[in-house]
Amino acid sequence: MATIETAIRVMLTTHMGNSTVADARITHGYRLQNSVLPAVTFVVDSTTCVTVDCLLNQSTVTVTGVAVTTLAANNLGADINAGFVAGTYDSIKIYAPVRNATTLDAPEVGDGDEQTPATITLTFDVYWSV
Amino acid sequence: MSVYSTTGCKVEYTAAGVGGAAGAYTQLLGWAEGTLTFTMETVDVTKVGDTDRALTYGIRSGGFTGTIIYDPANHKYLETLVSSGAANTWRWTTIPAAGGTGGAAANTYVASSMITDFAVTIASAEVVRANITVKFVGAVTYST
Repeated sequence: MATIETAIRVMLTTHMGNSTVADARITHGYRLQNSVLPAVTFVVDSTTCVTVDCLLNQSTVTVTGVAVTTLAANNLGADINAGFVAGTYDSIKIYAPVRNATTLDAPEVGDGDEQTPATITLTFDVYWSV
Repeated sequence: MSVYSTTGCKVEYTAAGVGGAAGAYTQLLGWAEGTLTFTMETVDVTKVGDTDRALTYGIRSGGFTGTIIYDPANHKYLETLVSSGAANTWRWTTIPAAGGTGGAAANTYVASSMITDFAVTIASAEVVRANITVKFVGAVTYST
């Protein structure tokens, strides 16, 4: 069954360069801590009707890019941005993705669990209909 | 009491031609929100010596203000109505047929109306919307 989550994943895998982030590393909500970087996770925070007839919906989507360095995360953010393109994905029509906010966090260097990679978090408003 | 969902509420206008009679209605697409207003002016007829204010009815008027997700492909006809300035027949369904509990018949208002304001609004991190104002020309026919 097509959902906005499946549509967003298809959109990202279609438009993000596979050489940058392989298809399998674009996941919904979660990635294994020891998986290969760079990787991208996304979640749909909320979905609301924006027209009275509910034909048009708006979803707020948070996408997180995870990379080894700040520069790599920053470049990954540009790829994620390029991955949001209006079109029909998994039978869902996505119109006018609007980027609202971007946050870039540097990696933390330490021993063992103290290490965290760099992340870039982007928030989009996506307008869509079935 | 009954509580009605907005699902099925509609704004429609005749697309047969500017100034055309009620007939083939076209639904206003991308309608996000709106307000239907009925106003009656009053004339103060209070006399010297009265202890309570007295009013009598005056001119009735009203209209609709609404916001649409603007798409020139869907809303081109509105632009035509704006530029012509002519009145057209509009129909508002505030409670759809069989909507909610006991809503067996649709609650509709039909009036010859003209678009008096059409404003395209643009804001950062938003999609393009348009605010429209429609004013009644003549009487409103209410049916339920």
